[in-house]
Amino acid sequence: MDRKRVAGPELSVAPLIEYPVDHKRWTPQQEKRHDSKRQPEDMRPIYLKTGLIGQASGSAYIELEKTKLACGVYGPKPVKRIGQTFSGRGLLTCEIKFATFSCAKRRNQMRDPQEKELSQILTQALSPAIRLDLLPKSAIEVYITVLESDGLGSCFSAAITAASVALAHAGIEMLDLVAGCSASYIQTGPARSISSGAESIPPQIFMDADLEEEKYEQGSIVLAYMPSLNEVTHVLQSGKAEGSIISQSVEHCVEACNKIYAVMHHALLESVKENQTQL
Amino acid sequence: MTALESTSPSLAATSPAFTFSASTFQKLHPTEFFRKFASQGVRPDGRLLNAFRPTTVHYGVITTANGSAMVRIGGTTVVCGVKAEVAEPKLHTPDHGYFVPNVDLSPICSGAFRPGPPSAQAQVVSESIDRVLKESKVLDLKDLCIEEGKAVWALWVDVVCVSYDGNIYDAALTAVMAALANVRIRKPTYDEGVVKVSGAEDMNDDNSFKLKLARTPLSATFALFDTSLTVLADPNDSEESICDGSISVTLDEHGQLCAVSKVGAGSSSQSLLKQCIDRTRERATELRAIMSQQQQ
Amino acid sequence: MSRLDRTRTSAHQLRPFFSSQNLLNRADGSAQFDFGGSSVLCSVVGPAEVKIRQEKLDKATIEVIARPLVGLPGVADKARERSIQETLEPLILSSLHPRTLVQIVVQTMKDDGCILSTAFNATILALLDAGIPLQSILGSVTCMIDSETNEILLDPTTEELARSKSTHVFVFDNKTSIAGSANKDQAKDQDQDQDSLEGAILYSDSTGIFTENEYFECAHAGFKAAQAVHGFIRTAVQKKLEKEYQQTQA
Repeated sequence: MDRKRVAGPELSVAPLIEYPVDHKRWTPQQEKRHDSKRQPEDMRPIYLKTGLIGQASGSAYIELEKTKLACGVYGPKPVKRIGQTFSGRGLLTCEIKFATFSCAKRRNQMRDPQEKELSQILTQALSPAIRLDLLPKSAIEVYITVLESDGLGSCFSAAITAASVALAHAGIEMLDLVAGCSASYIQTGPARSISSGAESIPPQIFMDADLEEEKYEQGSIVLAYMPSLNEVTHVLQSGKAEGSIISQSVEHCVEACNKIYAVMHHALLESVKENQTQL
Repeated sequence: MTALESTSPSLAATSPAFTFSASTFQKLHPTEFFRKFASQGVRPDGRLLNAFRPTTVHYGVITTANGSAMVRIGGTTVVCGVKAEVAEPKLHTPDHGYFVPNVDLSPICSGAFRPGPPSAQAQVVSESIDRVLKESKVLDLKDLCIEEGKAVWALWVDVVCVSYDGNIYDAALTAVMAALANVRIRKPTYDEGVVKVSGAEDMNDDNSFKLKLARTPLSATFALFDTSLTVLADPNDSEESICDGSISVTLDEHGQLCAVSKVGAGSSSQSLLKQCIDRTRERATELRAIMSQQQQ
Repeated sequence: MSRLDRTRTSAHQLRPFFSSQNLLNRADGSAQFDFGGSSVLCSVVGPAEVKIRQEKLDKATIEVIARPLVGLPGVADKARERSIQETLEPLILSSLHPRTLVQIVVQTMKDDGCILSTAFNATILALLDAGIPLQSILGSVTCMIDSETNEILLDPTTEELARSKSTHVFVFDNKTSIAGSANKDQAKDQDQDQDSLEGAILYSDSTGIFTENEYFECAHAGFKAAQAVHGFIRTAVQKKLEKEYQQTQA
């Protein structure tokens, strides 16, 4: 029981959804993507804007159609905790929070293990890009609130992109921006059966899969990549796929990250222009 | 910005021996800095004392929620999402649904909030919204009944503050009311302990329902500055931090009061409260116009 | 015109007050205040050492902890804490004790409506008992408007509150009411008399559905009733001091 919130029923569940008999659901066998306008290698259009949170040192808001999230960066500021050992490097902490209404099923207000894990991965993906060695005894805090998630992989890659733009907006020295991109491996042909295993076609790589597509994925990859340095900061691969598929999808992701980089660049330039006009 | 620059020379002139820039003065003596502005009838952000910040309301911004709204009052941005789920009713109210509003002031929106369980401020705002909506009977909880004694709807009304710049109560209440007006729930069928809804693509009036809201309470908050109790409409974060008290008035569309609260600062005369109520009437009308404009 | 509460005949009648100070010997000050069947016990510790996190350089930190009748505190108790804390902050001369803590614990003992008002009155008695310097004292009264008769009922019980259209909690300090009575002596005119009796509101919390007129009528009724509370607090303190004086003499 949470006593610090207005109490509701202890247990509540989403109602069972009953589909009509003639209801046509999207399946990958239709050889098309869920969003029929997209090709397998297409990403969703990105809307990225900085400076929405007035109190933060830097902030960014990103939207990939339905996926929406906001990121706020606070710092660098002195490490408050007394008793913490001296550190010659800055301390980066990231926190991802899903709003309770952000997913199909209502999420808990309290931090769940998934959020903790994603926060940890985000820290790992971002820290290679930040010049933490220039910030001894200081802390940088990155907070992300997911307002709506349409696909976990794409949501997480958007978080990486938004966080690095927000860090740059905060004026924190970085080696490069980090762009995040996701891909899913989806079996578009007839499902592989054990008897005729070898003949089935390889799964297709769908870039930036949405929630409906993720339901059919065999595996997925999230890549964090620094475009100008041409270096990967983090790869999160889950599910099963052949090595060739994985290396192919990494290539696809790198390509997509270069495209995202242009969007990030543009957003940051816009914020600089806005600052200039204000002055 | 212009107000700040134009007055900075005069501020410097008051202390010729030891001068510093207006922004340094603001950081060192925020109260004194503000007093200089208030005595001229303006505020550092250029507003008049009784002026509200520009407000926008957007409906249906979150598709995963049954109803949602985003409200911006100046630099404060809140998003409210309503999710309807099925729960078992309480024993003594077998036909009443649940209405659970909560406001989350997460550390993303301001450096003043820490991660972890809700702060005292978040709890107080959640409680005030819960109480106002329940006491003024905005929603008949019986409308949320699916099967008496077995299943009811639980409306989880969660407000997430994305950017904080004061006056969270007004922003949160407006967002909650806008999101409730935006709610659409698919008509349920109850069958032996299982609640089902149709999964057909489009929601229309046949397969879904809207909430019947008895009234739409909207509020205006005023901060009380100094012992003179200068009334500041719609205080921003820096104003809130130097003010000791506040007055909040909540009104419904028929002009009836739903809540009046005056907390902190010294004793205020009843005419001051009356003044605030009158100003709230004007503000609520404006706000309703903004809301109905966006609703189409 | 009869009330649901059979012990009272008139709508503006308050339940009998009861108070007792200095109940807890480990606290610096304590008091219990009853409005009939509602009872709140309050303890005050301070000025005491303050945690660095809460420390204020130019004044004392005031912390209020509200405890419910049963179970653990929830959001409603948090809201009560905030109300009491923010009301007391301007009242306590906190700049006399900078970098200290005044901790106030408010424990509900019996609940029959009007807990917030009872808590306010218990708090002020406890602060007086602890000898915390105050600018003025306060008195709090709750009233409600009956949904059936549209009548203003003062100090309602839980049973009566169930029938309320709106409830109003008011706190008045005794500074403004003294000024009001002084004016009354000067101005014999009836109209001015009415004006001077309009008390300045220190704390107000109203919910429900009501009109502006109803609100100010309630404030007026509340103000008059608060005078009785002020008087009671004064007598309580007076009696306590007399007793203490006698003890020192003996």
